[in-house]
Amino acid sequence: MNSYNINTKNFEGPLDLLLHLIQKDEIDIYDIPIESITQQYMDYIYNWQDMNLEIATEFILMAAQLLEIKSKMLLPAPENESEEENDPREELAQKLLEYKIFKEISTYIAKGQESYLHTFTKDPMYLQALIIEPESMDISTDDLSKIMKRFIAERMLASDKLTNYENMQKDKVTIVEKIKEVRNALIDNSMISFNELLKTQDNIYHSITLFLAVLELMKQNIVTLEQAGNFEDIIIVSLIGEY
Amino acid sequence: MDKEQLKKVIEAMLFAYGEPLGIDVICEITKADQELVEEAIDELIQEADYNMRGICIVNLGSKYQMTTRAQYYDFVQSLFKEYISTKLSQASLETLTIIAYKQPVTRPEIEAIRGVNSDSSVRNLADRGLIKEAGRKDVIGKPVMFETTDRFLLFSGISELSQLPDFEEFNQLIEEETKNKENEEEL
Repeated sequence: MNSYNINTKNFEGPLDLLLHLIQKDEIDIYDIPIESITQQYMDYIYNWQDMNLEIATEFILMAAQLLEIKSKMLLPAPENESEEENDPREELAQKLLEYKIFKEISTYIAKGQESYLHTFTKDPMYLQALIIEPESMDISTDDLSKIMKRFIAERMLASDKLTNYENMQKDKVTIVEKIKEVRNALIDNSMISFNELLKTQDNIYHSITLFLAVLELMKQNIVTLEQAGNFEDIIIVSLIGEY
Repeated sequence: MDKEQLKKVIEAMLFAYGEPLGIDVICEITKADQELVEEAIDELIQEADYNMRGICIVNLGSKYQMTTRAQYYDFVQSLFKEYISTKLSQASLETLTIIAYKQPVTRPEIEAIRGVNSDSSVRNLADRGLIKEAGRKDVIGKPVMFETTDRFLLFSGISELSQLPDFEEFNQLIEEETKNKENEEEL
């Protein structure tokens, strides 16, 4: 069907394709033969369509811009303005030139990456005392990851002290026991601080069970809870201590 | 502390810290003169290079970092079975170049130059730690701006941004090329 073969190499975008067409024919960027370039550009698009390739909207947009320039050039230039200043191709030429420069510099920068990719660096030692200096006021994901790693280092140090891994025991603390504990505490005072109770717990399981016990007591209308605001201390108030 | 002592201390600090370490921090901790510290580091760098040691020290602006020497990559890489070093795609390279020269720059500004959506390139570069967010631009929509990181210096093998090729020089080079072409045509 096609009398000639179109190279299907990947273009980074419409500017890349245009640049390829211009370089292929050794055309001056400031004097693009818009009709023939538009024709060649459209041939690429039609060819991609024939091959059922998905065509990025940017390519279509550029096609429209090329056609717009082409139609502008067909119109006679207004007499009161000089032709040079009013070249409809000027803006496109500037964009192409800027893109071409960045593209060329990018090949220069690419050379550096060879040795970079062959180099390894290491993370800092994540000790609990590692000083993390945020690079700006905003905390970046990188800062967060460092803080997390430091936190893990701290926790590992702390849990080494607490846990004996050779003798894991099943914790036998029950909600019933904790309910008793809370009710005992409520005998002397009709109001107690949840945080104070929490401090007397041996480990996280005791703490969780205590929390569940308090919820259960509230459900049974034995206590009510008061809290001044988010993250403030919870006050447990007895509802049956009056008699 | 004399210079020989200082060199050993700095070497140990750079190893432990891993990431680029500021010369100001080194001076503060060692209580040594910046000039002496710089001299010590320069000698460390030269000695490591001269002896082709497995470790080299690279200068990244006012910071220094310890890295493995690229020549020994094949061996080091074999330690990590799953490790694949992937080069940046042309799209990411272009995006990185634009950010390096125009920083701080927003994604729409990058896309205006490349003429194509650059979302995935920007994300890829950020994931690789080559660029980072640099606040928001005070225009409608408050788009995020991006700038290059110390890692970018390591990536491009330079110690400061001013060592990048001169944009204007490239510009003139290309203009001369086109002029020459015109001249040829005239002849």
